[in-house]
Amino acid sequence: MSRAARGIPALAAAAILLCSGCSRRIWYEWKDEPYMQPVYAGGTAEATRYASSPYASDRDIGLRVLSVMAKEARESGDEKEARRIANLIMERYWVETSEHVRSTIVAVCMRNAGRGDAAAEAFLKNRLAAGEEAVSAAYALAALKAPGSGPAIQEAFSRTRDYGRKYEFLEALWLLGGPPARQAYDEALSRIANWPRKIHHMPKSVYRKTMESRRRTLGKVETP
Amino acid sequence: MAGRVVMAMSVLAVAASAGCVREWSVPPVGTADALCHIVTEEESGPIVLVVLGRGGECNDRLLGTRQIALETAKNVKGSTAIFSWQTAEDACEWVRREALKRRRRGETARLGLIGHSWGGDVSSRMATRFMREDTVDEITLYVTLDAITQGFVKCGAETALSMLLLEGVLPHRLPLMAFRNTPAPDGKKLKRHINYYQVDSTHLHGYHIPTATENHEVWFDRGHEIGHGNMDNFIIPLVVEDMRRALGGGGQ
Repeated sequence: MSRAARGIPALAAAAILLCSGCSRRIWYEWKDEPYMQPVYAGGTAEATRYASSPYASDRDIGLRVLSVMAKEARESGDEKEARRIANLIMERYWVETSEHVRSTIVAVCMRNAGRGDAAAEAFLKNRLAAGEEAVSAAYALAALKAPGSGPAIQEAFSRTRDYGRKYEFLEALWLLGGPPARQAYDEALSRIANWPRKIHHMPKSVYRKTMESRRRTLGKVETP
Repeated sequence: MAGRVVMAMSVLAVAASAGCVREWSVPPVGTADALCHIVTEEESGPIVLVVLGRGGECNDRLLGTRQIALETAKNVKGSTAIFSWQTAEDACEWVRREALKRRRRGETARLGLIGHSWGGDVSSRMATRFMREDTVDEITLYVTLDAITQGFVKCGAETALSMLLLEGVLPHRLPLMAFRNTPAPDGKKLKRHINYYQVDSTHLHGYHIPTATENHEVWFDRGHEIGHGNMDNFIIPLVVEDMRRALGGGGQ
């Protein structure tokens, strides 16, 4: 191999490392909680400042920290503060330009901040019905065990023609348990032949095995 | 003379060995430090062990994996602990002690094992060891969350092919990068393995594990992924529910 040819892999490696280093996100994902800690230590004011940052990644951090603060406020009995933060997070949703951050708000922040909060549950049900961040809303509703979630997610499952979303709605229904979940899984598995060759990046053999395993665990210890 | 030398050498060897024995130095139940937090300890019921990844600390209240341990303790009546990957030996010792308590009472020692990131690799080695040494009667459920090979050099070497040659052309389509050193469920010693993974977060081992009972690609709306370090936050309820259904209810 000539000297120049040997240099090509080294140059490629250096270029990739250089590009990776320029992307804040590649390190960001690895150091998630360490990035959140100083914001959390700075209190609500610092988290609110982050939530208004021009950088989407900072807004993501600020909103998640705020949601943890809302959860802790609720656990310590400060319902008023918890609702204030939950409302603030919901308001941020409407002005948020990043789809990723909107998904984080619905899937993670509302789940933390919205327990037992009727306004938060209504917000999530509206997202599900409108098809906006619907998968994230379904997961959050299932995690919160919000009343009426089962039929709402089942309806979304039947309505959507996107099999990727159908698969995710099934997961949310599994989390919730009960008759709507069993019904939806039975329906999906009976028509599995019509499902696509791949969902997300999963071949049919993989996602079918997973769905069958999920169905088997439905009905086990369903009442906490 | 020779006899004296042998004796002196034996004394030295014993002293050296004693110095090498690690002390059991985990904090008391309910007290968290960065490397370990034993959340609950019971005389009976399932044992749940959570192994953290590289950046995680057991006393970080923002950490999703820690929340998984705390929520599992609320939902599964038994012993639950969370250990850093750095304290794997202490974690194994804790499991051994908990299993022994149950066996003395004539109970089956059942384990729920969870590993995130580097903790996924460490926990897979633990699972193999527990089965080989018969530490527990069964691993009822093993859950991996974005499992990654422990160590920058080893991980980098394993994924260099993907990173440098193929990932640009065939992004996220590389089954050869799947995390393959986990033990396969046999239905007896290891009942089930559930693997949650992402393909975008690290480009490292983002693929389904062929031997797992369930593979879940963690997916946001429009195909977004939440990121390696935050995935555990997103799937807390799913993992807790997995454990609750596999090991039975109860809890704090």
